[in-house]
Amino acid sequence: MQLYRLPHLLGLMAFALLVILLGVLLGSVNLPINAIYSVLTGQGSPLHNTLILDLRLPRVLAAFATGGLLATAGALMQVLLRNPLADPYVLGLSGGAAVAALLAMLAGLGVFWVSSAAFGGALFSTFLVFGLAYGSGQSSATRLLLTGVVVASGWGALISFLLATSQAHQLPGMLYWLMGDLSHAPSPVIPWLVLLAVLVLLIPLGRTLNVLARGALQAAALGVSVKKVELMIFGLAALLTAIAVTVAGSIGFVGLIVPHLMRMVFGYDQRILLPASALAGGSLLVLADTLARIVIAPQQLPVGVITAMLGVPVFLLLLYRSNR
Amino acid sequence: MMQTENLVMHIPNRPKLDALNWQIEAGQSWGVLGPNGAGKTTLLLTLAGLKAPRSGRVLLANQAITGYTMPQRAQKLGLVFQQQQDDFPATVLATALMGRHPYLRSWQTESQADLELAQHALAQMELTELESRSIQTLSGGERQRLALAVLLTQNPDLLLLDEPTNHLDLHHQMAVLEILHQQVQAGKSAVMALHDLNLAARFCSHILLLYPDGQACWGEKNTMLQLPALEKLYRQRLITTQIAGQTLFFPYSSIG
Repeated sequence: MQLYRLPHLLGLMAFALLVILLGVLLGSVNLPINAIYSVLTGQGSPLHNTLILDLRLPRVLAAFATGGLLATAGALMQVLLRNPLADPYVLGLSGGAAVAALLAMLAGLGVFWVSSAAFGGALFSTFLVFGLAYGSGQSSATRLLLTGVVVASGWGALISFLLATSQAHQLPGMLYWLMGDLSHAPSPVIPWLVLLAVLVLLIPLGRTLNVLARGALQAAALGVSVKKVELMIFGLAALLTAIAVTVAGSIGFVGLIVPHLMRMVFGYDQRILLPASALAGGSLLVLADTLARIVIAPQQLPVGVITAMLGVPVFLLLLYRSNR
Repeated sequence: MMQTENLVMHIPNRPKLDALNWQIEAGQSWGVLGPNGAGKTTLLLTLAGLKAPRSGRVLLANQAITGYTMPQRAQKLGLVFQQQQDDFPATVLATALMGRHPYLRSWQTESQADLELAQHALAQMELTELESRSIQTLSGGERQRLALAVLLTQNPDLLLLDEPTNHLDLHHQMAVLEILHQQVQAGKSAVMALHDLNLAARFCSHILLLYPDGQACWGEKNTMLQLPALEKLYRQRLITTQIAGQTLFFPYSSIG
């Protein structure tokens, strides 16, 4: 019944491919478009080979996956909490990841261990919030939200403490991590696999999520096993966010705004909204990361700064126009 | 259709609650009357299996309600709540279509037949013209009618309604209750929490009275709608009058 939205979705997919192409071509050194062709056919110059295959393509793919993960997680969190202001970090996930990652940096550990610590911290915070909110037997979206917000504030205080007490030479790296940064992104294979797997898993859940957005009781009256579905969304959203945080630190804004943007364009139907959010979130982050690489090249900006700078005006414009 | 066996609702801080051994047959429409906070909503939620009772059990078509899967249960009984949530926008038609959710497997999308059912329900609730409007722009009465349209699209055998005439103007009160009456005539059953004694007298075949102290009694309309019982129920003096063979109830007041 929503098939008439398919052309829009295909358009978004084409846009995503274009953005990925741009991300590969643009940088401190701009490449001609035929460079990609010659590299892909194995006839590229060694410089182009390194630049495209070893440096830019992995980074662009990592950026796309991260954006997709965050936007999908945001869309899920908004349904789970029945709150349009929810984002992937609302349950304290990024805070837990940040504290663990900063501790790893302070201990002088390498990139791998910082990423692993971030993943562990995100999962720890997830279990903490979930246990506190559901452990007492009573559960409600408000309770979960409140628990998450308070736990997040706790992590925020710990982050400030770590920043205030650390050495000056360690600060830039820590700040970059906190603002979201893709320059140390690991291989994009796992993020892509997880994103695709979760999207496939969510396809049959789309209509259930639509019903759940009408409230837990109404959904139960229409035959939804609310607890089971909520648990599953929570787990999936936490996994998506944890992986995104592991790849790129805490990039704000994408998870909150992209689902809203997509709702303005595609309507509320989760069956369209979730894949659209993944595509748009990925595209936004690739665009932002490309800009982060070229604005003050050869220096790089943290990508989180650019996502907000790009996203805020676009979002406000759409919001303004939709209210007329 | 539905039976309760020694059913005691779970209402906190209310130790003394009558056990209900209640029979709801096909073709009956029950009005649940009681003052604010007597447990009318809790009763409906308990019957729907959405709230566990303190003790006893609810049987739906001779099988414990807890033995059904959620979609099976939602095919047999439907519920209209006092309030609807609309934090997220959706069109009126898409919302009505959600009534088909219990019938569709997870990979299926709504068929043409589902769409026609939803559109028919919207037409019955006089909402056809609002089909493509966002539910966030609806008035209170329109929302209530949409909730009823979802129930009609869901098309269960047992209709549980929490104050179905909430927010409705006089014309739509009659229209809604007449449609519910037709549904019951066609072999379904309805249980509705109501506050209007005169509507209950006109549209219900049976009445259940829920007293604030936890007592309950139930039976045919004529045996239940008696002045002393009703005055005790609401702790309110009532006056009655007869018009065209019908008893009408009015609350007494020293003013006017």
